[in-house]
Amino acid sequence: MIKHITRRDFLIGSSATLFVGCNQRTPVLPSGQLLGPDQSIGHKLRDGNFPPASKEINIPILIIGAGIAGLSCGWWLQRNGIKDFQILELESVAGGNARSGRNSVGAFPWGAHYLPLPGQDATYVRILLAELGVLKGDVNAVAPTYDERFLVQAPDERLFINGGWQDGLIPRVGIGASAQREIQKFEALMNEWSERKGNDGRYVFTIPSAMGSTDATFLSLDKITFNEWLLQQNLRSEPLHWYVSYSCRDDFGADHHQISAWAGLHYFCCRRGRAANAEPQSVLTAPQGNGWIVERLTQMLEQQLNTGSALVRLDVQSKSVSADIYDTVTQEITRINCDHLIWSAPLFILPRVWPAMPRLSIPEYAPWLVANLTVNNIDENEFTAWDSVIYQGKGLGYVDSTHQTLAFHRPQRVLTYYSALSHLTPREARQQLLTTTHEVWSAQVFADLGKVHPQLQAQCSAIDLWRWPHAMAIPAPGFLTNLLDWRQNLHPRFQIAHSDLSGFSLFEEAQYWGVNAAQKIIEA
Amino acid sequence: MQFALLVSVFVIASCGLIYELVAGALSSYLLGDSITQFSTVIGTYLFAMGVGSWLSRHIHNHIPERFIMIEIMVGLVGGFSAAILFLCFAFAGEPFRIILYFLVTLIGILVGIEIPLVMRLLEKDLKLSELVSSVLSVDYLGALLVSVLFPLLLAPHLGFVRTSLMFGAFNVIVAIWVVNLFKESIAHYRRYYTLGIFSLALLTGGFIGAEKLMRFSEIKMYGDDIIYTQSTPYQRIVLTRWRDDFRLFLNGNLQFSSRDEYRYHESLVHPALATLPHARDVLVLGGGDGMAVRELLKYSQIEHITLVDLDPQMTQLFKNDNVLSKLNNLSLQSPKVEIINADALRWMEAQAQSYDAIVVDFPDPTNYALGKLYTVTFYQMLRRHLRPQGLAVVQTTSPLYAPKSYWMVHNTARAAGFTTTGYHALVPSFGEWGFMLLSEKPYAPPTTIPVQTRFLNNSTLPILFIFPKDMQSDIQEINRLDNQALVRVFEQEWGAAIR
Repeated sequence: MIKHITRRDFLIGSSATLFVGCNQRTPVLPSGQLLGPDQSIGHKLRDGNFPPASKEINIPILIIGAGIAGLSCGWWLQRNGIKDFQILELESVAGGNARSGRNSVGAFPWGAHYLPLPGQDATYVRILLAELGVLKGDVNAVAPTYDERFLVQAPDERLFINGGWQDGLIPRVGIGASAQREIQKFEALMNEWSERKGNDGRYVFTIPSAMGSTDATFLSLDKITFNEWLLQQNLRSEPLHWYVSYSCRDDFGADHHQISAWAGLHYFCCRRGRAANAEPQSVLTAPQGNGWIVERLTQMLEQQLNTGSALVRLDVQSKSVSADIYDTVTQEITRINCDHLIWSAPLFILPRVWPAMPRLSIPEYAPWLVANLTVNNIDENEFTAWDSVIYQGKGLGYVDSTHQTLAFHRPQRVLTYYSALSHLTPREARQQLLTTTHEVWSAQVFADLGKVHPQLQAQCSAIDLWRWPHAMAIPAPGFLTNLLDWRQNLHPRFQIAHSDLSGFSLFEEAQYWGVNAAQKIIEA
Repeated sequence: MQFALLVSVFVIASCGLIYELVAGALSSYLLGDSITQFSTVIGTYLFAMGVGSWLSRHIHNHIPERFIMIEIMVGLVGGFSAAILFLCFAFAGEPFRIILYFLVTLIGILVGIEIPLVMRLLEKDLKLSELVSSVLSVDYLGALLVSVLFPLLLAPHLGFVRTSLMFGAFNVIVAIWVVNLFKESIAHYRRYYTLGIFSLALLTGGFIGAEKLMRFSEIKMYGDDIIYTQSTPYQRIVLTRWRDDFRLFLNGNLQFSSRDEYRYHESLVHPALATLPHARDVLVLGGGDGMAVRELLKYSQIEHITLVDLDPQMTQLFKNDNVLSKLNNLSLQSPKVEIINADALRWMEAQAQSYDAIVVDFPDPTNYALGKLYTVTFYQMLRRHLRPQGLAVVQTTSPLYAPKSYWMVHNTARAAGFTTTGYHALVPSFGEWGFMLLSEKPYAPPTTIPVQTRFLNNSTLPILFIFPKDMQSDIQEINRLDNQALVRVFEQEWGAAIR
């Protein structure tokens, strides 16, 4: 039973390497799939060559897009006794950015992989979690109890810096005293801002962001970049700037030179969620990332969900809305007349299908690459954490999708690698994303992770890639002012419900707008 | 001739530095405290080189022959130095340092003689200023080359043992080359050839056999004869025997000694089962050695025992092996026993069956994977599988060496809704060992043990439930999946207990 490892025990384990050395050959690149959202409809839309509708039907409420916003809209309608609605999804499966996959090892995310503990403003998130049995007891409690299996297991996050792993993602080890002081100053500033309230008594930064203060004095933060704001605070050290850049790229797909100071501060100051049975910074997650919520919502909405259905033309009249829906299987067009249409797809698609749309400016979208690596013969001591990030690495690190399983022995893992392509302009990066081959992308992933896991390529039996050409809207300076126009009612029978309305591709935001749209219909 | 000798200076210089680096790196690796190890090894080595240089004045004639002999000796001693040190460390700890400094001194002296001798071989052809400048510059160049190669290529790819063997061979090749250069002036030069070739063969053999050497040293590290080893996908199983004492090691950690395992397994099983006269169905988690099952089978009322152990090779071994199945009284062959090879938490998650008693015999929480088996989630799951009147018992490390860990496990089980009762027993090969009983209602120890035992008796049983002062802790923390607090505390406590 005595399990302490002495130097001698260690010697026994590692003597093979010491004596024999290891034969290193450059392993061949593992194969895998090159995946991504359906591009054909987008191209067809741009060319505009769809046939006229072959039939016409009536559906009272039509939801376009089955990401978190669309599914949440349906969930809230159903919860309030409304069943006469349909959700249409262009892709073959629901989920949007919370999409997930599964292979012989287990489930893994293709996008959003966690949900932070919801604060008290995130009422709808808490109601949903209670309904799914994950939040126990009072949904309004300051610190509710959560199902331990969904709280991220320890060790959760680690950063490879100065030749070794440290706990947590904020650089701490070997960065020097002045950089350390800057990081402390930054943390103190963020704590201060997260407690700050506007003249209406609401928090300036909260989530969902629409629940925050409407005090116009803070809008000046939307006029400068987050980098400019940091410099104004005299925060200049490399480790801090790397950390802020990493955080912005992780949440917004663009770094702090590109995003609005308001968005940057929102990222660091909006979360006040607590749990009775977890640390304050804990998050809720599952092997498939946020895919588990998609699965549960999809089960509830089985009757209403139609995949492979794309809206290609939108005609908004004063009394009704009609939508031409293209079936990707039969290739036929059906005209659907409805009383209410909810657009829960990204904003950039809307002008392409609605020529008469009011002129509003469309944000830029960040392209992303996500890779899922099937890795074998895992050394338990090498792959310990849920989220592993490399300081000044090219990508955003990787998440171990098997971390949250209860299995004791995990010799095979699926590692989900994320990279926001923020080094080029979105257009150029998108071009690069779509023209680069599987081999080249794979080699880049291994080059990035090989710095910390030299054997990874040899251990990897498959690497599947997902290309997200328009992963998320970038909250560049001015985005908030712009979004206030989008949030106004464009038409009494037409509503937008998407995280793009907040400017942040976050679960809480998407869900808020989905439920909000449903609530307006319920109240109408 | 001149060029050839300068090349050999280069090789000699690199070899000399390699032995120093290997000794320094090996001793820091095995003994720790790299500053002390490196600085004493380098100091001893340089001093010994000085001694060697001084000694070289006593060599007056037959310089090529002496040089060849010294070269071969450096090759053999230096070449085998790492292997000798490894084996020595495996045999016994203390003489290691003596042998280390002895070898470093010996190699240092030999290398110290080398360079002056080469200089003297060259003195006929070169002026003193040229001689010193050429020999020393080539010497330092060789040193630079290996000091860069050693950390980047040699240590990671060849390992210490093979690196020193390879450089030993280089030394010997230089010796053979010098024989060739001076064969006119050496009487019986064939003898030197033969000696050189023989040494080279020895070093090459060592290089090839390095792997076998490793196994040999492994055997010695366990102390006793290894009668069985097997690497399964889950662990490395090693069984040793010394006379009638069988010891099982998993990943190098002692699991039981057949001399006192009865103390452990009786303590694990009887305090619970002696109070459960109506127990029919029992679940054993872990315990693939069948020892806990052997104790359970003493209760005739038990109808069915489900043993869930991750490693099929482990249960196969203890079920079918002639020697090992005797240790557990053929318990795993009993028709009452059903063996399931599965991951315990996952298996419980997928099961609805409940039991009158559950015996949890997992390894200690030495890593995050094992830490999961001591969390609130695990005990909640256990509670779902335990009948309301039933009892579960958990092996819970040593309350003497790791009191915080021991009581944190209690806090954790209580957080899952259990009532916990602790007790402990002395198992000499482990030390003072702790157990935890889990129940819905407060537990009362039995007044009699109704089955045959070697350790437990009625009068001493109540004493096991008393905890002296040094086995107590007021720790409040709970071990959850999201904090894995136990693994950290456990490592801290055992780290301080074992040196």
